[in-house]
Amino acid sequence: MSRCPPREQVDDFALHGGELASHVASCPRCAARAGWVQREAEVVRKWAAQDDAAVAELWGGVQSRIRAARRRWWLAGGVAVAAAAALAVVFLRPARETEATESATLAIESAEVQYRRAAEVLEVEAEARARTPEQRTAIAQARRSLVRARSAGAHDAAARIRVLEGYAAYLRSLRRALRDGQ
Amino acid sequence: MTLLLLAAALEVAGPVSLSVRTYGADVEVAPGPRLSVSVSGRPDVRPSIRALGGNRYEAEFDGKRQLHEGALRVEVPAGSAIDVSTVLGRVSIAGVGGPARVRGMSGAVRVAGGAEVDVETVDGGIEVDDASGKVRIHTTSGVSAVSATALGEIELETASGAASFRGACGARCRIDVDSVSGEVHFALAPGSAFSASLITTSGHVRDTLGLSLHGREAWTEGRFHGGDGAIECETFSGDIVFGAR
Repeated sequence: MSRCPPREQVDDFALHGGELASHVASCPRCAARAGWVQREAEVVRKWAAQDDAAVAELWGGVQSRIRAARRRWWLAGGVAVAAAAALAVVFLRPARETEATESATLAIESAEVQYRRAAEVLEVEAEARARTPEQRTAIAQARRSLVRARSAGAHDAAARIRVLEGYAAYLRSLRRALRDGQ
Repeated sequence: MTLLLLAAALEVAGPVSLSVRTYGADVEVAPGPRLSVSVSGRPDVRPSIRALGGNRYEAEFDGKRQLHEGALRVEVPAGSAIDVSTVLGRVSIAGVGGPARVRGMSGAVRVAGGAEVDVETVDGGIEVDDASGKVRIHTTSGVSAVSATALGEIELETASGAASFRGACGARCRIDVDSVSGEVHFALAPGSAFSASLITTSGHVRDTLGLSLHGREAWTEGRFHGGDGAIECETFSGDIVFGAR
């Protein structure tokens, strides 16, 4: 078996195919990674399909960044995909409420406020710099999706935490969109 | 009066994968004999170890999967994988050397000498020392502290909890931090060598380590001693601080 390629190349293969097929077929570690990426991508697609959120547009650049391997940091794409998938859990998993302590409830409420405020500030900047109507639409749709997710999981601590993770991924995407738009 | 703690023990073939669930009970996990697993705790609750197939086991308490309160001591063969879920309980996993996964809420979590470490809490503090593999920490407001002689691959996500990293960041060091308002503090050994990519919207970047920093608006890049390692840190309003260990 040949030596394992960098993880971003395995991610790229998982999403787009290519010449790593023989290695991945013979390497349990790379096969597991590729399978995970494919499953997460599918979850994100299902999530986006629920309200036509333009995830590909919002995170446009994530996959292309992976493909171009311009970033050394493989986690960039993975985190965005995983966090979006976590957000999908709010919709896909049957509701089973998680009990929260008083301090945890306060921490979650405070975090929700902080994430919302941060998103509002970055959205204003991103919308001001958006070059196409599609980019503005993507931001608006993502915002609606997060509001919907928040509403769907309002009474369940675990769901609220997954929504916070969705916010974290959203903030990251906005920051990087702003940086890449410079 | 001496209370007799009830214990369960099981002979195993080697390292195992063990799950433990509590509501408010503290959990302490330590390495034990090479070929046995034991669970001991309260004098009024009888623990047992249920085989789930393969090398997977689960602790039970009077036939229930979750221990509500008290304290629990677990011993497993070195290299075993531990999975602890708790709401209020404090968790300590030390010296086991295998993968550690903890899902907590408000109790503090400490993992020392783990392999891959994966911890989530809401407001419980998290301490990870000397992990040999990837470290993943997600917390809402818990204070996080990661330390190692040589820091490795670390992903940390927090809303408002402060985060600190202590050790050397060199080859194989990959630290990725996302924070909203929590301050992120890097206390790094002089032998570190890394590049840094920093984004903060309204926080400040402070450096007493001596990085060569440059950037514009919210984005800052920097290098220290050549840059084999990589630090990527994004905050909204939290400060990013570099200093010497």
